[in-house]
Amino acid sequence: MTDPPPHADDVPPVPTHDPGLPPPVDVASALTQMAGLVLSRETVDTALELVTSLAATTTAGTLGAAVTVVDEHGKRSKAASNAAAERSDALQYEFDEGPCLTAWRTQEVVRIDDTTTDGRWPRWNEAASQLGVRSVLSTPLLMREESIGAMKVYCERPHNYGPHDEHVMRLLAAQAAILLANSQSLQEARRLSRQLTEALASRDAVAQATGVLLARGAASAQDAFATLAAAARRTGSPVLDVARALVAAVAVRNTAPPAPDNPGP
Amino acid sequence: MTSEERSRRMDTARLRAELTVSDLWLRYVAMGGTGDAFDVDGYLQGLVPLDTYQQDVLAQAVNEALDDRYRAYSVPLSTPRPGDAGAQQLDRLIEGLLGDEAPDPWAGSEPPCPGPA
Repeated sequence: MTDPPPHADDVPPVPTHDPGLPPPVDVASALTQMAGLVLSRETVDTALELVTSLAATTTAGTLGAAVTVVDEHGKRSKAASNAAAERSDALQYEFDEGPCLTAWRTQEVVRIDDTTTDGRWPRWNEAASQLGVRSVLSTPLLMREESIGAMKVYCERPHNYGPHDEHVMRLLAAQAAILLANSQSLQEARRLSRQLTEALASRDAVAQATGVLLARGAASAQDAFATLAAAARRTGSPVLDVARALVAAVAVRNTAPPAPDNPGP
Repeated sequence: MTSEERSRRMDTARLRAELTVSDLWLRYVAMGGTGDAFDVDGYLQGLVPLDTYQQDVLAQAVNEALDDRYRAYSVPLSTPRPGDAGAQQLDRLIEGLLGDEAPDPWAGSEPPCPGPA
């Protein structure tokens, strides 16, 4: 791999939630490093497209190729080499049946020799044959023990794929799985970074509110926190809201003109 | 409540709120908790002691997560109440907290928890 190392500017700026608080610490770059050498999403997509087009050209007669990704956001296709492949995939997600979903679920290679005679996925086979897809080869994408999707090739002729194509697809699927796992760890790093940034902003607010209460005579930080928690319980709002409201109220008091019955010098 | 009971109840509440230990730890840190994830995990399993301040922060974090969970399930009424009563109450409470005269915003609430054991 000759990709450049990831840069912090790959990560979009995280919006701050309270303009009154200092900007939160940017932990994104540190986390990206923690997640190991992570490729940028653009690099991953380009490399995935390379793998699918390689699959399309090394398996003779292939009409289209694509990768199915399954994660907590659902099922979707990536790097489809043409519209027919994309459409055939979309039908699988719509019907929740089809060779790639079976390859993903069972972690085994699935081959359809002829969609007009194969009875395993009747709805999908019928729809796919109308799109001009007659034979399919689909390989699961495995990361360690976990199945994260499938890579497939579609052909407009029946009986197009044999053991050699299965072998080629297994090799390419291993590469695609590595690329996908890489982009998932990048997303994970981004998610963690966003969560931590929010947590730090919240923590700042609670610490400031604790300071205000200490200055107003709270016996200890624990005592101040108990006051905040009690206020939160009584108003049914989170401690964070109480803390922010308290800090905001103090700021308003400090900037307000002195009251007439309490004249300044 | 003994310390052991308390940690067990917190872990039950955590499961009820559908939080992983690290989710709960993040909420606890966001509220000012200073223990690391290992401390929190150990405490929830009854293996590691946590001082009462940190226990309070953790309890508040898990309680708010439970509130969030129940709020997600609750069904709104057809006509919402006019005004934001909660916000007004919060404003009054904060006025009380910042007031120069000795505030007594806690009338009727349970007493604050005792100091460190």
